[in-house]
This record gives sequence, C-alpha cells and structure tokens, in this order.
Amino acid sequence: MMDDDLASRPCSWLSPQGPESDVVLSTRVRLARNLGDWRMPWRLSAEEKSDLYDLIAGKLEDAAPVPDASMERIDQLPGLKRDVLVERHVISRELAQGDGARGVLFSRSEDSSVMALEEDHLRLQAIRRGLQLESTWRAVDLLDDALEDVFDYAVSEEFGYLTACPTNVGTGLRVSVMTHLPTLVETGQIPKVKTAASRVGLVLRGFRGEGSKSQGDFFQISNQVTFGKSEEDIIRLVQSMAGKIVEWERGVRRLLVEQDRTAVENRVWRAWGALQHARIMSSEEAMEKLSLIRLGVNTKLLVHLTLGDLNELFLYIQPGHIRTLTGAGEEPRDRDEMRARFIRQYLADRAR
Amino acid sequence: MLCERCGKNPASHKTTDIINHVKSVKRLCDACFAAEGLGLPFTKMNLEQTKPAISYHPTADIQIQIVHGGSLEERELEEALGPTCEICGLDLATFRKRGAIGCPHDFEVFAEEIRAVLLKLHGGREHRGKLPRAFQTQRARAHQVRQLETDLERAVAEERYEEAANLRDRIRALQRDTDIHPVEDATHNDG
Ligand SMILES: [Zn+2]
Ligand SMILES: [Zn+2]
Repeated sequence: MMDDDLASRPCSWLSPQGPESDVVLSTRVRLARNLGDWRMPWRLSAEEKSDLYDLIAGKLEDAAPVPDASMERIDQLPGLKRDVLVERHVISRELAQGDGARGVLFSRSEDSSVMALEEDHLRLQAIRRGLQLESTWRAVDLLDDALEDVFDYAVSEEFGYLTACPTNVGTGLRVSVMTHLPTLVETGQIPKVKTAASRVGLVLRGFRGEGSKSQGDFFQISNQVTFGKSEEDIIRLVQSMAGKIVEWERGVRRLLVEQDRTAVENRVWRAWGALQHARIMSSEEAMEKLSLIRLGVNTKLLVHLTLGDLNELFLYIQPGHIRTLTGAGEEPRDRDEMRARFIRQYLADRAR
Repeated sequence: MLCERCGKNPASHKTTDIINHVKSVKRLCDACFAAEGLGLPFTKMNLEQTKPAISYHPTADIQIQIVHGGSLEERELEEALGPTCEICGLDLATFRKRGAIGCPHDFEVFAEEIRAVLLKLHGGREHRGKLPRAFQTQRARAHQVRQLETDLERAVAEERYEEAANLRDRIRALQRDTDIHPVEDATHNDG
C-alpha cells in the first residue's frame, strides 16, 4: 500500500549520491514483457482488462519477486497520489493517465517495480542513483528470471520478446541515464552530443517535467534499438556514450571556471539569492535555479548544500510533491507560492 | 439483423468493400444485394437444384462463372486487405495505421510486414540476447528430436532395426517427459 508519508521522504535511490553523480542523477533499466495467451492491453475490453489485472496481480503477489512489495491499483488511486508516483519514477506517466484496470508492484525502497497493463502486460524496472548500468541491469534481469517462471511470456525465436509496439520488440530493453549538462547547454554543445548519440542508435532527450516544456539542463540518454542487439551490447553502448558525455561536461565545467570564475560565481549566487528570497516560484524556474546551484556545488563554488540535498529538492519541488507536502491547492499560483516558501525554509534549515 | 440499405428485410448477405484503403462491411437483403449490382446469390443448394435445368442452357457456363467469380473477387479483396488475425481481429490496415500489435499471434500473421518495420526501426534481422530458460530448453529439445528423427529415417532405410527401435525410444522419451533430460542452457547469462 502507498503510505501517506511517501512524498515527505527522498527516494532511497536518490541520496546519498552515487557514481559519477556530479553529472549523472540516475540510471533506469526497464523490460517490456507480455503474456502469450492474452491480447495486448489496447485490444482488451474493460472487462478483460479487469480479469487480466486480477490474474497478474495475484501471481505477482504470490511470486513476491520484489521483497516487501505490494500491488497498488492505479485506476483506484486519487490523481495527486498518481502524480507523486510518477515524479518518483515508480510509474510512468502513461500508466498514470491510462484507462481501465492497471497497477504497480513496488516496495518502500522504490528501486524496483513492476507495472501491470501499461502499454504491455508487464513493465519491469530497476532504478539506481548515479551511473550504475551493470548493477541496475543485473537487478532487472534477476527480477525477469523470477517472473518468467510465473508467467508464460510471449516470445519467438526470431523476434525475441513480443511487445505491443515494434519499438520495443526483441529485448524489450530500455536503458535511460539521467544527466545534468549545464555547461554543455551553455556552450551550445547539445546538438553535437545528440548527433554523436544518434550515430550509435542512442537518443538524447530533454527532460520533461510538468507539461511538455523541456527543462533546461537535464537530459536523458537512452537506447532506441532493442532488436538485433543483445542486452549486454546495449548496456555497453549506453555505458560508453554516458561515460563520454560525463567527461565532456566535466571538461567544459573546468574550462568555464578557469576562464572566468567570477562570471560563473555571479550566476550561481544570483540563483541562490532568488531561491532564498523569491515569493513565487514555478517548477520551471526552480529547476533552472537549482541547476545552477548544482553546478556551483559541483565546481565547489558553493558549499552550503550537498548533492544529496539537491537531489532531494529536485524531487520535492515537483507539483505533486509540493501539493502533498504543503497542502497547496490545484491552482498553479497557489502551488508556486507554496513552492517558494518551501524552498526558502529548506535552504534556511541547511544554511544554519 | 436488418438490411443496412432498406432497413426492412432481414439481411442475408455480407459484402466487403475497400474505399480509400478502409475495409467496410455491409449487410444486405436479397433484393438490395441484387440492386447494388452484386448479382443474385447462388447458394450451393439452388445451384444443385437448377443444375439439370441449365445443363444444356447457353448461359449455364456464365452463371457458374459468376458463382466462382464471386469467390474469386473475395479472394482478391482478401489479398488487397492483407491478412486478418483470427485471434484479436487486427487487420493489416489497422496495424499500419496504429503501428501497434494486437496480440502475440500477429507476429505470425503479419510476419513479413513486421520484419520490414523492425529492419527499418532497428536495423536488425533477428533477435539476439535473452530468452526464457524454459523456452530455450524446449527449443534445444525440439532440435534434438529433429536430429534423432533424421537418424531414425536413415537407420530404417538401412535396415538397422535394433538401432531404429532404440532411437524411437529416445525420441518418445524426449517428447513425453520434459524433465528427464534437462538441456543445459548455453546462451542465457544469469549475470
Ligand atoms: Zn434491403
Ligand atoms: Zn492478433
């Protein structure tokens, strides 16, 4: 069951910081799986969906592939709680906004989850802090090993794992690394990174928080190819590209600080001032300012906060979390005032 | 169900048409079926009944052609529409429009189409990587059975009957019991 204090604690996988966390926030790996005897979710009637959901939920709870986990029925959950789960990456936006019976198996640690009746019958995922491709893949691989004994997966020798969308056929594997690239953005390098990624079958996408607007300095690098390459090949590919991007961003950070330390400091401290004193703060503005603070912490220009604190703040300022934590209403203005107040309080506590 | 054209008589015919790549199915009564220029139906029975009478009739050949022509036209329509999955009802046009697969069986029904899509999307021709252990064991066993069957044919042809009997027993054992000879799975990596 989703406990009520969920929104008031950081995700276990977010803090403290992990490998390469000066650039990489998190590593996520998911597998798409379907049952051989059932039509894909979009071809099921409401009744069939409900029957299949009961079957899947029963088997997941019996098999208990995730320690201490339980099923949460998403279609019976209030919208605000769904938002909180999306912001914590426990479920996808698609699952939150879908229709009919659907749900998720997750535990208090939130580092593994299984979504039921999203685009596919099952979506298995593991998430870890920093850049940890091998161990995150191993976690979801083991979860999959446990579930293949319980479910009769739809597979073929030629096509591998059969999925509802051709973009996932084969391994059903999607590896995503969330990165923070403020100086690559600042120096106009992002198009080059995108080209380099697409050349090897990877894609770099801006992180979209609230709404569809891409939020500045955060980018997700993930594989597009799932068919014809093995899981290990795909992991290696993302590992190699993520490693290059990390080095790239670090190099430009060093260069910028060497060239004009005061100019960088100026921006970081202005952001700090805004966060400390603003009375109204949208989530876009908060992300933008926190991105600069993160840069300041990573270049040791600012020592009041740790990366762990920042990871926590990034989570808490999301609309669902702000509403839950402060009791703000649905009105954006109300939320933005509450967000400004929350951040001021948080910083005051840390700076003391 | 009533005729979709006149709305009065019971519908007794189903017609299929393609307009702008969209398949449309209409249910009509005898009169409307004829009025739409689709000709009068020849059920198997009335064809047999009229057979002696028209056997010498000059139009007999033509009428029989019409009967066959009807089914030929249906077959052409079927080909133009592409296959339809009998399990989830997905047809090729919907698959193309939605770009989504309706059920696992579609991978057999639309295999050609899916191969082309996957090649374009992924540049891949066949799956590489993980498969469920049970599936791999089964696949290895099927492979073993096929090999033994070849050996068996040869043994029989060469009249080595004792060996043939032996082979037959091994094949039966493999087919009967899935746990007697577990096949080590070589490609799956637990790590
Ligand atoms: Zn009629
Ligand atoms: Zn189907």
